Amino acid sequence: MAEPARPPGWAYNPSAWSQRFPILGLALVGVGVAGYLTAFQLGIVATVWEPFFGDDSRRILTSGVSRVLPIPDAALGAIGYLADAVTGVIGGRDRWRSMPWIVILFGLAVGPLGATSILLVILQPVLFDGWCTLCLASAAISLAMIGPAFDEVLASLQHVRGVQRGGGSAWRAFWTGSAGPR
Amino acid sequence: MIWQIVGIGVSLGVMAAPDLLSLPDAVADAFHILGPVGASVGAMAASAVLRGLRRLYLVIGPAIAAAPLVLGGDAAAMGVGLVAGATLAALAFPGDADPARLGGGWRPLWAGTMPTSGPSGRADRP
Repeated sequence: MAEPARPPGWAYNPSAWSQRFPILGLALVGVGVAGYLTAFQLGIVATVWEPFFGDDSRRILTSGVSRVLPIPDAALGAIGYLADAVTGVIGGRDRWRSMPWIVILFGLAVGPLGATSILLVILQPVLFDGWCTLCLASAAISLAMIGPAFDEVLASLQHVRGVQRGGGSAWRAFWTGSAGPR
Repeated sequence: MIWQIVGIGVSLGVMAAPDLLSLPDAVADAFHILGPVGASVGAMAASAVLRGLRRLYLVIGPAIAAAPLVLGGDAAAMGVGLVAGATLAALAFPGDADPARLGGGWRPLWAGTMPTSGPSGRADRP
């Protein structure tokens, strides 16, 4: 019997490509934006595009906060978006059941990136009294990814919990998708 | 989802208000912190699976309303704070997601009312 692609009790399949492609698209746009900001922070490009806030972007992107880590903060964002894209593309349309580990990893990649983005948005006006358009765009992208990503996380958690309640191994279900011997 | 979009708009207004209205520094900092948090809550709660996060507006809304009163804002700051704060607090209630579309939502994870899966990991019921 064919395995159902849709989680039990769900009106749609959160692992369907139609659900995941928009997230992957956002992640790739995020890689592009953060990559461009990284290029500016590394001096590869001389100026940064800023249509609204004058010199604010340059001040924010060259501030001490942006150099707290060994690599520019925008590079960390680019790595985060890349992790989102990679963990978002691995697995088929039934990965909520067959690969819960990658779905949870996907959620862990998307969630903290969003939280970091909120913090960086707050720091812009509070510490630097200015705004950075592309930083705001990057934050909006990372926040827009959280909701669509977490429906898949919920489906995987429900699956693992269901296996456990059915007497199977939650550990095995998490890594392989199946419950294993009882 | 329309309510969450309204929440995002109101929160962005709170973010922008200090620069548009030249609000006092302390109130500006409060709005610059609470605005992005409110917009983030709205963005996440726009998804049915995280709709419950809108309840955070019950904390964020009153905080925005209280900030100018506590931090010594002028009339403009108090107006923005009261209107935006009350609106956000009201947005904590409408727009429930239907958990039946999401396998029961988050509650079954710990409430024990979830479809079980068989040895293959396949759902026991369709």
